[in-house]
This record gives sequence, structure tokens and C-alpha cells, in this order.
Amino acid sequence: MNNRFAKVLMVLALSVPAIASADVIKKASAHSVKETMDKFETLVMSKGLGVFARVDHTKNAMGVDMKMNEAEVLIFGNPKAGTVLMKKDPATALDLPLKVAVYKDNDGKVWLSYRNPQDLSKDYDLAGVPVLGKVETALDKLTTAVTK
Amino acid sequence: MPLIKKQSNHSVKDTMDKFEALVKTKDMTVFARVDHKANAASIDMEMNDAEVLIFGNPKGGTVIMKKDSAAALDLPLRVAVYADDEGDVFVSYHNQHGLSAIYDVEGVPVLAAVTEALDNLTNAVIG
Repeated sequence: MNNRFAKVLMVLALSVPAIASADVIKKASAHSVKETMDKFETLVMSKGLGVFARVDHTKNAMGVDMKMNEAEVLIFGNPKAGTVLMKKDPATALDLPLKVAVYKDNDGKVWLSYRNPQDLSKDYDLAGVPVLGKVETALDKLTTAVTK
Repeated sequence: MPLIKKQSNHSVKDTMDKFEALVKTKDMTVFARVDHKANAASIDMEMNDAEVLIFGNPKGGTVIMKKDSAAALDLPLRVAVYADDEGDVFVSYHNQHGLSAIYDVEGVPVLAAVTEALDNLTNAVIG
């Protein structure tokens, strides 16, 4: 990354609440890591999506006597959408179910992050599958709802 | 992230059974094993056999996340096993060196160790 581009990214980071950097969408959360993830998990379940795992990285680190910032990741999805994608390209199985992380940076700021589902078409043969746009919109709404 | 794909000589279930058993012998934790086909069947949809294992070792992952907390999104690790439309079975995963293209984890030695471990573990279950 050249310097000018790095500066532009920094300015974007300061001025826009949600930024896309190297394929990852990041939104600042007004709540703690745990509260943000509690809200997100509850919302996801209320929409009929399946939660496959909620991984508390900080707790796992403590389990091996290590310390780190608070960080959790939720693995969840809806087979109705996911199956359509995997029927188009079975290799997509690796990146499903979806995941959303919530973590604290070294300055104590809480972020929610995830990949734009549209980016799956960079790795897999999914170009033009309409479900990608629907999942993108749904994830945007769900994550915005819990970070406010 | 760069994708690594290896053909397996076994069925999807046998390959994943072997992989899960192997991972558990290596001081790693399995967080979830997702059977995509079974989930599809539960809503009356059909698809090829496909499973994904979500697993990891906090000793490795924590070092990466201490360097850049944002890497929390791409941990624990994942390995998928799936059948393509010709019935060939593949094991796939993302090359962990790809994490340094996304996060500030360039040069963290654990990345090379994880990449090598994933290579060895997946080679062991496909033959």
C-alpha cells in the first residue's frame, strides 16, 4: 500500500462509520463486546437463522493462560440461502456458515466485522447468484441494528 | 484469501471423520462440525455432500489476535470437505499466510506453523 492510499484510508476510517478494508466490513459499536454479540445473537435467532457456534476467543485464551483483548465470533446462517450458493459451487462449503466478529482494539474501541457476502464470488463460481445481494442487505441491516 | 484444494480418496463423511479425529489428537479444540447437506435436507433442499469443521488451538490463535485483534473474524480455522458435481471429493481451506494480506500480522511466526500443520493434517486424511 503506498502512502497516499494509506492516508486516504485513514481519512475514510475517521469520517465513515463503516469502512471496507481488504474485503472486511467494519462498524464501530456503541456497546461492549459482550453486549454487542448478545444483541446480535438474539437478533439472528429471532430471524430464524441457525447459530452453529459462538466462540469467545478471550475465554479460550484464558484457558491456556494467555491474555488478549475481548473478541468473539458468531457462526450462523440460513440453509435456505446457503444451499442455493453451494448448489451453484459446492466449494463454497468452506465459507459457510457466515461469521460475524465483535472485538476490542488496543484503544478500547469496539468493532463489529464481517465479509461482504458478494466477495464470495471472488473465490467461487457464484457471479450473478441473486441470493448474494439479499444476504448482503440482510447482514448490513442486522449489524447496523446492533452497533447503534 | 488463497484457497488450497486437495482431492480425497475417501467419501466426504469418511474424510471428515478422519480429519476430526486427527485434529482432536493434536491438542486442538473442535468448535463445530457443520453438515451442510443435513441442514439443507432439514428444509427439504438437496445438495452434494459437504461438511465444514471449525477448530483451532488458542495457543496459536491468541498470538495472531494479540498482534491484530481484527483477526478474530478469521479464527477459529476452517476445513471443508465436499463432493463436486462429478462426485470427486475435495478437502479445502484458506492458506493462513493470506491473513497477513488482510490483517496486521505480517511475520508472525505462528502463521507458518499453522500453515504447515494444516498441510500435514489434510495430507494425512486424503490418502
